[in-house]
Amino acid sequence: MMERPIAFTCSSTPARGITLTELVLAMAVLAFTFIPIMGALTTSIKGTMKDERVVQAINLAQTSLNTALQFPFDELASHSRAVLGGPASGPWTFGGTAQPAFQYPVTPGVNGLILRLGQVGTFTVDLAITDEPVQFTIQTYSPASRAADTTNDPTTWNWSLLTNYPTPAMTGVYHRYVLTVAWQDRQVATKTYCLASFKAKLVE
Amino acid sequence: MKNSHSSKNGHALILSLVFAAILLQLAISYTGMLKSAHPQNILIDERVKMDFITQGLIEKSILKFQLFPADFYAANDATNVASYGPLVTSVYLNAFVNDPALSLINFTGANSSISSVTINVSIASMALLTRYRWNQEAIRIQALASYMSKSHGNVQKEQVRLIKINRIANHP
Repeated sequence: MMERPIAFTCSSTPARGITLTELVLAMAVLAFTFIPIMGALTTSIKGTMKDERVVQAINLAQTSLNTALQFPFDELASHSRAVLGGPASGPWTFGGTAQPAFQYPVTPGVNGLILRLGQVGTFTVDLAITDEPVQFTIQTYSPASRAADTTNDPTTWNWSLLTNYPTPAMTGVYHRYVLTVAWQDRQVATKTYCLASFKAKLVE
Repeated sequence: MKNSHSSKNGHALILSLVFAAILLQLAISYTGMLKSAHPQNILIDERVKMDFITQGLIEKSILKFQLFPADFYAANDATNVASYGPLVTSVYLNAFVNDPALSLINFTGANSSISSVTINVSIASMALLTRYRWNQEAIRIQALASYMSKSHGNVQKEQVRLIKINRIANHP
């Protein structure tokens, strides 16, 4: 009896998987890769937190100094003289731990100015106002000579030499404002940020 | 029957190495981004400082104008006498503007633990603007500030302020 040929296919290629050794080695490589990445992430988080504090300090200083400059010229200095016992001719300092907010006018309405100094959140804001004597160098002319000039020649207006006016220097018309924001840092004891500006006694 | 053996030994290791390389590259680029963020904060700080200091100096120039308005007007009128040329007639206005009191050289009053820059500010020009049509006058004051930045070299900033003025005669 003839055997009927049976046609069948038998795959003899074994499907190999990943061995345990390969798996362990791959996990070890990935773990070692993550060590410096985690270190970099930690450093970046610390740096971001530091920069955030700096940006907050800059914004707070900007806001506070802008508000202080909006007060009328001698308002803060006269408050220091009258209420806080500050010196007559400056410098006048504001801040410290228990500093009530300055208001203008005294009972401000909707558009009143409120300046907060001293402890503001985790920052300490101090303001120092000093009087800057003012003396200009000026070249004056003679109005009579100008009125008499018929040729419209400026050189005949009797200009003086450059002279310092007024003599002595004028005080009480120009103030320097220095605002300092301080906060505690983990690594450095106290960090500070300063802004300076000036304000003149101008006629509106 | 042929037995073909295909070995996939080591594929897991190669894949993990590729992923590790990609992750390391991401970490390096992220660290690079943070490095550029820090100097921007310093830049913002320096710009803010310059803004406030130039504002203060412009106030001083307005004070000078308010104290000596006649001399300013005369100096300005002298500049407008065209027949003698700008070199001759602008000397009076230049003397008014180039006043040592209207400049701050090597100003370090705003230094702190975060930044210490030396800022130079001066008044560049004070120009009288007149609009006869509307019977209005204004002064345009231009201040120039400069400082040496660690990251950007010499930085210059210009600030302009325009104020409306009214002439009031004080003679009887």
